[in-house]
Amino acid sequence: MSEQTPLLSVENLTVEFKTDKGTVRAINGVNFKVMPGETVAIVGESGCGKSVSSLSIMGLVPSPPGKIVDGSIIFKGRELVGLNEKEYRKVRGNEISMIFQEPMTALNPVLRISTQMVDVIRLHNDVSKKQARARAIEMLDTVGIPSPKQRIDQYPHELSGGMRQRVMIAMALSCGPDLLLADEPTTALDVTIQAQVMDEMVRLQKELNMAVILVTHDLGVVAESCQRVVVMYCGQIIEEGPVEAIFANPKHPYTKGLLESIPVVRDKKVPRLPTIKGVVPDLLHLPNGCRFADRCDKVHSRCHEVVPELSGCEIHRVACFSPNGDVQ
Amino acid sequence: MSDAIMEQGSSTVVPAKRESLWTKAFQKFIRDKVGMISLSVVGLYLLIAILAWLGLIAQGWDELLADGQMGPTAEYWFGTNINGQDIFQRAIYSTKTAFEVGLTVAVVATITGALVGSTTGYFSGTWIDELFLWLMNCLDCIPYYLMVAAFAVALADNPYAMHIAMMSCFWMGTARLVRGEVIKLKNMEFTEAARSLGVPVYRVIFKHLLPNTSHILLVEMTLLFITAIKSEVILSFLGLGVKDSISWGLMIAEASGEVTAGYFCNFFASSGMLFVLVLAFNMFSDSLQDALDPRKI
Amino acid sequence: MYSIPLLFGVTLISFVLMVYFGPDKTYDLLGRNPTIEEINEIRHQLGYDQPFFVRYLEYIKEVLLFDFGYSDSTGEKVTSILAKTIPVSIALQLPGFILGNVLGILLALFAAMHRSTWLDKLIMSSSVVGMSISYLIVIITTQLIFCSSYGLNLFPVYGWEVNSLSDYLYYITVPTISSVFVALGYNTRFYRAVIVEETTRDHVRTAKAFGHSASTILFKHVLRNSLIPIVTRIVFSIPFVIVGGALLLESYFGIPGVGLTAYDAITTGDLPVLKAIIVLTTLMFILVVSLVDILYRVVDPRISLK
Repeated sequence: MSEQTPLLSVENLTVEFKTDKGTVRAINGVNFKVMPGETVAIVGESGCGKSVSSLSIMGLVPSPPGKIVDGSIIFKGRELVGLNEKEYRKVRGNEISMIFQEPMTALNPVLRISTQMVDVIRLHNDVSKKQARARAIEMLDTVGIPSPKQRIDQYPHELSGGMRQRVMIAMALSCGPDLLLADEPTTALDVTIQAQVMDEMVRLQKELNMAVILVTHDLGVVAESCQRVVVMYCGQIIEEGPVEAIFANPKHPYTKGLLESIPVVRDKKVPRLPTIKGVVPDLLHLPNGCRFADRCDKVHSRCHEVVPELSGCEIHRVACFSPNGDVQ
Repeated sequence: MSDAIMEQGSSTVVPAKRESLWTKAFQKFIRDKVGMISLSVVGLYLLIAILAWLGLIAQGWDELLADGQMGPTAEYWFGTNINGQDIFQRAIYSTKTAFEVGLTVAVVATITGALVGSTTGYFSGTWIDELFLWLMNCLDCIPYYLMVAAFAVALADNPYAMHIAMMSCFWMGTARLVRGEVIKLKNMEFTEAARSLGVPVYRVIFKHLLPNTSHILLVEMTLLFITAIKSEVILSFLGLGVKDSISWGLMIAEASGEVTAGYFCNFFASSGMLFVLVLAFNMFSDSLQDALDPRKI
Repeated sequence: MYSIPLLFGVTLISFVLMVYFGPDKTYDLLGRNPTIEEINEIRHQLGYDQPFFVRYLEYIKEVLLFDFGYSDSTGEKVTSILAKTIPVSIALQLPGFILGNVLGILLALFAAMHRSTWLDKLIMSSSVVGMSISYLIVIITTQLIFCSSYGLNLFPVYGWEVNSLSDYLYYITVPTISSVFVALGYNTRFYRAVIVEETTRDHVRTAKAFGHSASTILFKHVLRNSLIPIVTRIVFSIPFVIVGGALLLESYFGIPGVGLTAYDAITTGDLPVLKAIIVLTTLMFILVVSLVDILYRVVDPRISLK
């Protein structure tokens, strides 16, 4: 592997939330790196901490209940944790952009698309309104919005969900960021539109050589568009590696279970679709040892006592005492 | 890929305690110190009102006990008014009047509003809805005081004329609120599910939709209580309110004359008690609303 | 436009209220021991012997021609009474109304910006306290403080002799202080709730994610969107404020406006004046609803295209 410096390096990130019932650790000691131009997927079920991870990178964790209590986020050599608001604002939308899950409500309904896009462009670039508008139209064209010159003066409600999400992508890319965080960008869209929007994103990513962190629970999308996968469970990373390796040879029992539960067309009918038994533990009452232990069929006594660390070869690591059936 | 079927084994996780909106709200409310304090203040007032109603205290509010206007003395803690009546007793007895007005108006107006609101909400867009909306808009145009005056004249000797007038005006606000909420709920899947299971319309409205508005209704009822009491003050002042009994409004009306002569007791006693009750109720209503807010749970 | 059924409904209901529940004036106009002929004569004069629909149509005619006859108590032409008193009421209420709402919005913004800090809690507690004090008490207290010899004695207790701007200020200050005090509590709470609600919306998060500054977000994204429900409420409150609030202020401060006229009419059972006032409030209501409709189209682009 070439010795490239990572674009983004998250180390030992820990975020806590204060709730009525106590303090909860949404993510605990998360480590991962993203290389320039790479597409990394963060997968896991709802509540595993994947959204919190991406929000932390943007400095958008809602601050009265939430707080980054430990760890560092180094972006282009710069520490983001503890960065003051003024500096962070220069980064947001400019060097790192984020797009969210709900395109229907993400745009301001009373402002025109042109206003919203031009504002963002002029916020980070010293250009005139005309120039900003031209760039905005260019971006709309790039993301595949037909007749961008007319559409740009419309209001969000005049566009469909898929188109609104494309506008969001256009807005996110308008200042040429090095990293795009996409938090379940296609979950709220129809399957066919999903495919279109994802295709668009992959194409743009290649063209602009931009790194993308795609947060999703849809393994199908991951297989098609990402290079590396990070699997999260209960606030921790339990496996990470290249997408081919993970799909062909999942090492963690959870990853295995996830992959096996994807509905496929089979030769022989099965009486029941495979599932992962049990439920995710309550973050307020975490068990000692491995958090997946209660649901694991490869469990042995050590699993209940010690939390497994990520280990294994450099590109494909797993946090398990018996990955892929071999007892370590 | 193996064809292994993973059986749904017995879970080792303890199932969560069954919690409904009400138990959660209750627990949240108990932890709210401000809410609990205001609730106890209201409770205290209620106790006083009940005692007065049962005839155990403040029964001498009407009697002419002294010669005339007096400042506070050992015997009469707040002095007497111009007729020689004990202000303290009057203030205490007025608590009963206040609760009478507040409770009856709040309960009846809420129930009426809920019934009308849920029905028109369910049938929104049809003639039933249009009819009631038209009716409510019309009644809104008639100034509140005029309505009360009309009722006062129509039911000339009925001491509950004012109560009935208030009920006739206040139900509309609740009805509108419930209607809005029911329209939202009507479009949710559970309504569709109920209808497709063959649940008759009246049951859909009363067993499924209306209970889902109960948290709004409860808060609204507390607000109506407050509005009724405050309204009574102004109406009594204008002479359209309470007749045979004594209330804080009537006391303030008396006091406005006394104040120019320099006797402030009547004014302070009545406005003070009114203020504390309304404030406590307002804060209680706030805490209640916070506790019941489904988004915060 | 539903204004016609509305007008119809209002006139019908108010007519029923007043005719069937209003005071019977027959005996007021007669002397003692009236004879049967005299009674019938008076009843005929007052129109009491006409059937219901005839009397109702008479009423409608009055409404359409905007001629309400003469006041029972003062004998003046009703329309001229209204013409005299309405401007006074507006002059009285307007500064308080504007101040109350503008201050309310400012305070609400301030509270929302400093959400959950002690400043916010202070503003909110003051609002609750302000809401809990009866209007009456506020009026009496402000009168005591500012107008009487027990207090500052700076302003008149009573009256309305406005011939110049300084006169205007002289007479209007205390009533305005009262009305602003009362309105502020309710307004601030409602506006703060609207603004805070708006800050939780997704598009505000988007704006933040793209690097907009806090003040841009507040004004361009939060306030602008909050104005829709805020303005609706302000406009809807106009009819109620003018007739309702005026009543107390005017009767207490002796200011000859519509509210005082209404109050007198109620207590003396002055039907022509009452009829006119009801029609007036109905018209105002219709006007207000249409105004809100138009405003919505201007302010919320989602509506204009429907």
